Amino acid sequence: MSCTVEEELTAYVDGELSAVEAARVRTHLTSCAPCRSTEELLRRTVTELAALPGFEPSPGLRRRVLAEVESLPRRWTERLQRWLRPAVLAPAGVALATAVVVAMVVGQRVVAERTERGAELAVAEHYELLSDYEVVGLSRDDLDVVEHLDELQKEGRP
Amino acid sequence: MRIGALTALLLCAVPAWAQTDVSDDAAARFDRMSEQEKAQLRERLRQFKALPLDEQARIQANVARWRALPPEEKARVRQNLESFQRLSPDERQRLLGQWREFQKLTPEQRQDLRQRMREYLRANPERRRQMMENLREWRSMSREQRELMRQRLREMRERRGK
Repeated sequence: MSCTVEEELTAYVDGELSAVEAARVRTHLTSCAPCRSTEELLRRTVTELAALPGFEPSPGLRRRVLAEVESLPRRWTERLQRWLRPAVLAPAGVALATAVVVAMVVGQRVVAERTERGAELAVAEHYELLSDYEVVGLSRDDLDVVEHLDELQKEGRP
Repeated sequence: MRIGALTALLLCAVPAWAQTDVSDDAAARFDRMSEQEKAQLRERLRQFKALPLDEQARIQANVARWRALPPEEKARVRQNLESFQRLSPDERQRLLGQWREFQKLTPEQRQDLRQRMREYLRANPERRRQMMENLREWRSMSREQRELMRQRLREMRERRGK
């Protein structure tokens, strides 16, 4: 495409053009089908990026967006790099980071659940001993000795 | 694997959890497991089935008792489990011997000990860790070492009494 407007389309979609420039692009779009198509693609891409779920970006959405980017001519790929700006990347990055955190939390829960089950079985095997663990091997008087054992041992040291 | 056999596997291998988890969808739950988990479950079933019936019943009852414990009691037993698991094989054997001796005490004596320990730990929660360390140390002591500690306690009390 050789339209001079092409370079300004991303800024146009992003609302960064002045009123005069935006009007010029708008006028051009009414008569240029390739640029209209490009504008539509850009708007769809931005909309889908903004629509990323709060917790977990849909793998389907990611695939679709990447497929569309891949299908573009090389120049478009380069042009789309303009979209890799903080204003666009930040929300997507937050969504991705959130997804990672959620995955980690869920993973930890799974591990914790397995650990809990392992603990249940271990407790069940030795429950009687474990429930009286603190007093096994003690007499009434020896409980007092144990209570002060750390002090008593220090006394014997030079 | 057939659903019936699968449910039985889960029920028998993990008796207490079977009461809640398995009833919903045993097949789906089993399918979601990794091969390693499935193998572990089969091994657990094999071990559990190899136990005498009264031992199987004891474990099932203990899981139910454990599940019914209030949170703070669960935390206490869990800490005891951690302490127990840190013991060396020799220490475990010695503890099991002491456990058998403990069983010979009258119910009143056992209850008295529990009560005293509970009161101590309640009054000194920050000392629990030290108390458990002391207990481990005490259990590993010889008869002579214990007698020495008893003697020192008597002396300490006399000094403080003066």
